[in-house]
Amino acid sequence: MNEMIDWLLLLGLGAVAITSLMSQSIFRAVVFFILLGLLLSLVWIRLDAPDIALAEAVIGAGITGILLLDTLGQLKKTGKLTTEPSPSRARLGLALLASLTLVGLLIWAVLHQPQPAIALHQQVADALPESGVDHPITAVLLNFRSYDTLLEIGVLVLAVLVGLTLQSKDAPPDSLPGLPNPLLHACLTLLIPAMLLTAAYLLWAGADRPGGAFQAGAMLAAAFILLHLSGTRLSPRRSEFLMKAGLVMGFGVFLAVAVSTLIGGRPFLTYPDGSAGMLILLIELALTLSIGLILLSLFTVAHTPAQLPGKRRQDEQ
Amino acid sequence: MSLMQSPMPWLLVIPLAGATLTMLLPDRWRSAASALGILSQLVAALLLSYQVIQSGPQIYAMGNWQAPLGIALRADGLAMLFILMSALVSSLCALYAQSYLKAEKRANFWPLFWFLWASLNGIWLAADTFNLYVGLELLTLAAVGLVAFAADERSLEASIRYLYAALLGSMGYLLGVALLYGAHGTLALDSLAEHWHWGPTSQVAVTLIVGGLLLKTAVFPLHTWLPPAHGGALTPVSALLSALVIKASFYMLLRFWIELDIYRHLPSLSQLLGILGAGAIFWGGWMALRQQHLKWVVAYSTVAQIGYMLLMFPLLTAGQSDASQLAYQGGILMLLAHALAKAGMFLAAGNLMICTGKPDLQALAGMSRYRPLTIFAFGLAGVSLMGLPPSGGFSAKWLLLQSSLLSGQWWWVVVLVLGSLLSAAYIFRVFAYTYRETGEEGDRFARPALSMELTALTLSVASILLGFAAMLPLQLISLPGPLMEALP
Amino acid sequence: MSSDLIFTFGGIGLCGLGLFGFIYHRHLLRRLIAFNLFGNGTFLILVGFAQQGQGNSDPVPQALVLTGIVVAVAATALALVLIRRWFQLKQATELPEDSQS
Repeated sequence: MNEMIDWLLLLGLGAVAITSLMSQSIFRAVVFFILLGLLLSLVWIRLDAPDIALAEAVIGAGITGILLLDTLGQLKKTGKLTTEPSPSRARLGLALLASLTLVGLLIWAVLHQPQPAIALHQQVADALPESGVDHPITAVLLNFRSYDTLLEIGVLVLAVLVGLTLQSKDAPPDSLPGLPNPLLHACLTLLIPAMLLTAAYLLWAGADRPGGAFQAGAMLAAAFILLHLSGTRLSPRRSEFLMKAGLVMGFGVFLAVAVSTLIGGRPFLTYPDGSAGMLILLIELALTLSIGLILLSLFTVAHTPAQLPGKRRQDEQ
Repeated sequence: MSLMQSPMPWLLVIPLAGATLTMLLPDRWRSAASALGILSQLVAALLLSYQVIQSGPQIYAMGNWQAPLGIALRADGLAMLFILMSALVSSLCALYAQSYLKAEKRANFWPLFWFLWASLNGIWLAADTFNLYVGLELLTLAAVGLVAFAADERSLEASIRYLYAALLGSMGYLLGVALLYGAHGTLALDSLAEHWHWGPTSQVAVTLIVGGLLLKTAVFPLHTWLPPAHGGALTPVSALLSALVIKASFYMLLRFWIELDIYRHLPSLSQLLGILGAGAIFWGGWMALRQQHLKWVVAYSTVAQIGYMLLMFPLLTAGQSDASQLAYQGGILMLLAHALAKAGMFLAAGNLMICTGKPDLQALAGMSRYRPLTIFAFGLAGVSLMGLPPSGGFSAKWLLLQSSLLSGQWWWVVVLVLGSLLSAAYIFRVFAYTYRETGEEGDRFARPALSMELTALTLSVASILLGFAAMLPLQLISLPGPLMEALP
Repeated sequence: MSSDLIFTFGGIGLCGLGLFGFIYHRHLLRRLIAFNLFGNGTFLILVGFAQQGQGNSDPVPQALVLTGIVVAVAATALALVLIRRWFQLKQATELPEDSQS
């Protein structure tokens, strides 16, 4: 029975993926891509990975989907979508060759899997009591492999930074009109607190159950984006500094905690005995807020008219 | 003070803190903060080198969790050379950028610059395959951001092309890592090498990793994203990209290749890499000869120079210890000489473009009479790239040549010699333009700031001096460590 | 067959489709979608293949995938910022074909 569900899911996955790839209409392609994200959440549950299922639904399908749809809307407004060049024969041949080779190699590799020499999940289970949290994935993300997570937040901050850099300082503020629908506002007053509550729950749950800063941050971002779409501006130009501080706060707090132990003579990213749980929660709190703001900024940055293509010489002295 | 005991984490903390601070500080303080950061970076790099030379390779367990559960950092001689190289090149490029960029632009340059440096140091010190993936992505986004930073149409196109190629490359790499983890149960390089199981899974994983890294290194014929990105970026960015950024994926390739014994298992792949290198040398050289835009000449020269570094791979052969040693030394020296010479050449090319106000070669006519210093910096870098004695490029090619003869693969000698002739041709072509007479009398050229002339000259001179002092880096990279043990 | 193995094959399929679309299409948004398919396939392989080998749920690759998803969304967002600017400047949704090189 369970295996049947798996095969059906797999079939659905394939159909949706092919549609999102080959659909004539780019709009349909994006919609099917979002649908694929939702299907993948189910797959992750089948793979015993509820954390990823949550993240996939909120980040993979949700945030990526919103970003894609929003870009599409902008392209559509100017009405340049119809003139897509048809790919050439040579491209088709190359694409087929590359993808079939890849699939063949991967199948061969998977069928010859050796017995792994190391069982890392055992080591994680053994070290879990010292990690300060009870949920193994949170322990890996924020303790055992916290260095990866630190750099990953760096990647997020960097993406926003590039977006902000490309944005012109004197561009007129966001021209997106707020939606003046009273019903929408009524819904939002109910929905936003619910979303904030969910975010808080996800953050808190991360210590011993699926959940954590990323899922919570993405939920927060979804709430921010809804507010933004309804006309409430969270990134006013007046408080540019505050916004920036909010963006790097998560990264900064994480780095500061890591460095403070370094100055105390312990290795980088070590938590002092007994306070690991608290410090992890502190970091996660800062991360949640920053991730929410970062994802919101990634959405709004794209809305601001870009700076005009200046003459190159102006940048140079 | 913990900086003295273990300078290793500080090599990451300083640039990451630099990125955060330069984002938050008011514009006018950012340069000062960066200067302070650069100085402390140099101190940390020197301290760590001293430690490595005195007491051998250093392992640092992040968060006090031993690998493979945690992530380890590792500093051996090779890592040290790359740290010192990026410290030297980055700080000189930063000095150049300080005069080159307008104040407003400069304020936005610093955070990207610091992220770039952080990711480079992260990659040189990494000993964990997944951590390398995150480092690569950080590097990619910083580099793409710096290319797009010029904010004109061509650089935007270049940055999109670059981003797409780089994303595909990293995903190929990650797919390889996924297979390796499934087959070995570990992500740490050391424990992978210890439990290395050679079979179909590892073979496919290695193919994917090598393919992804070749794309990111812009190896012929996967190089098409490089010339627009390196040729179209702002000058200090071009220098950083050509001298350091492409070396990151190359460095990873080399580490995997030697530490995981790939040279022993896949000798045919080694020959293929050598053939791609030869292709890069000829195609890059030929294209450099045909460009009209000065920085594109230099960018295509990078494509060709990557080819020389790749020649190291077919020469690393099991059972031929002497030839392999020479190839390892020659390849790394080649890489170092290229980093110095190419950074110097890009900066000198930027200065030339400031003098003439135009990007094309035609505009250089008359330059050699009025701006000999700028031409001199360009020429010295050219000497090293051509591989004329006594430059660093010459010593490197000499080592590679000896290695080819020793291992009986004489055909690479032909490639080396013909390739050098081709590089001589494209460099002398640039010179020929500067000696043309325009008919107009008088000095009508602008003058770049003295600091910009000096930084270009320093890098070019360093690439020549490397020829006399080649023993120092060679001793450094031959210090005992996991890589040296695995070398054939 | 276990779920782990089934979805490892699912991941392989997604990787193949993603790579195909990435090379085949010229529309920048379509290529970005293809890249995300490729990424999702890689994530499935990372978790499915590891758990298939270990025989039970493994938190390490799961944590890696969480990191990977965030990195992928950052890269996608950056690509979208660049695409929008490209569109504003050139009114085109694809890059010109390589003229040389």
